Amino acid sequence: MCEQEIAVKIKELLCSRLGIDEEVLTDDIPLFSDGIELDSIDSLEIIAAIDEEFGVSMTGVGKESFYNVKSLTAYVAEHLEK
Amino acid sequence: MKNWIHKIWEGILAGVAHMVIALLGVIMRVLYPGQVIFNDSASKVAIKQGAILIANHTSHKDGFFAPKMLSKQKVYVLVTRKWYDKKFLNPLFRHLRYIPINLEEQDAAWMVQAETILKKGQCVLIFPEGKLETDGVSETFHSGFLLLVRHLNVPVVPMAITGGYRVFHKQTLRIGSPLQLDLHAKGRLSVVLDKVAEQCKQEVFALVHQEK
Repeated sequence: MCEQEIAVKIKELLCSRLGIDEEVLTDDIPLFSDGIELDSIDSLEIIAAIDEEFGVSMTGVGKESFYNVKSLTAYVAEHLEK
Repeated sequence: MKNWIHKIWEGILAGVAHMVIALLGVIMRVLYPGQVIFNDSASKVAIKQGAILIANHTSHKDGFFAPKMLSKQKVYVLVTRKWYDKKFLNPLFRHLRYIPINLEEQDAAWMVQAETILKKGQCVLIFPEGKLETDGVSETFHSGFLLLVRHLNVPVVPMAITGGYRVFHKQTLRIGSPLQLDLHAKGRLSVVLDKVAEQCKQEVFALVHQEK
């Protein structure tokens, strides 16, 4: 799976599971403060969704990896079993 | 060889943990004679089949008292890492029915553990206040446990622990009806869950006040 496919899947997950409007969700927009304003509950849902979808555990991972779709994609791409 | 020693050591620790907990159980029963009151028989069924139990949190004894009062069912208790990792308590927690949760970081490991337990038809006890509220009133219920409910569609049973753990006075566990929760309402997940958490809070505190 290439990075672009991962990014598309992550966006789908964020929209469907967190109720984010897909028009707002660009690759660069910050997911938490000053951006979409997600909170800690949303981040737990992101962890669960990414684990279910990609089999990548993000428990305990630094918040920089949750900054935006791009950083989430980079983390998943790096840790996805090839 | 090292593995064997470790296994034997863990076995000894497990035995000690169970002995300590059995002894504490006897002491608790004598000091704080408890009673369980079910408001609704549907809760008995839910608990028997596996449910998330939510309760007010008045004392550190709650995490021990409530599972003891429901001794016919296996009840696991969610406990913060702050307590779970304490040097003298960790051997006990590790070998008994406790699930650690790290409130300092994005910890989803507890959810995986709780999911396994619930799928076996056992119960998980959560104190959604996340801290002690000795007067029984809290501003907020954290909504993290609702993610689990949403995924697994397990029943949520509210409970009220009352009595104040006064020596030789009755300590009560009142159990309400399983809650009807709309976790799939439209809108932002965190907003939806916050609303439902507020509903859960009201239900628990209605039970607390029923007892007062």
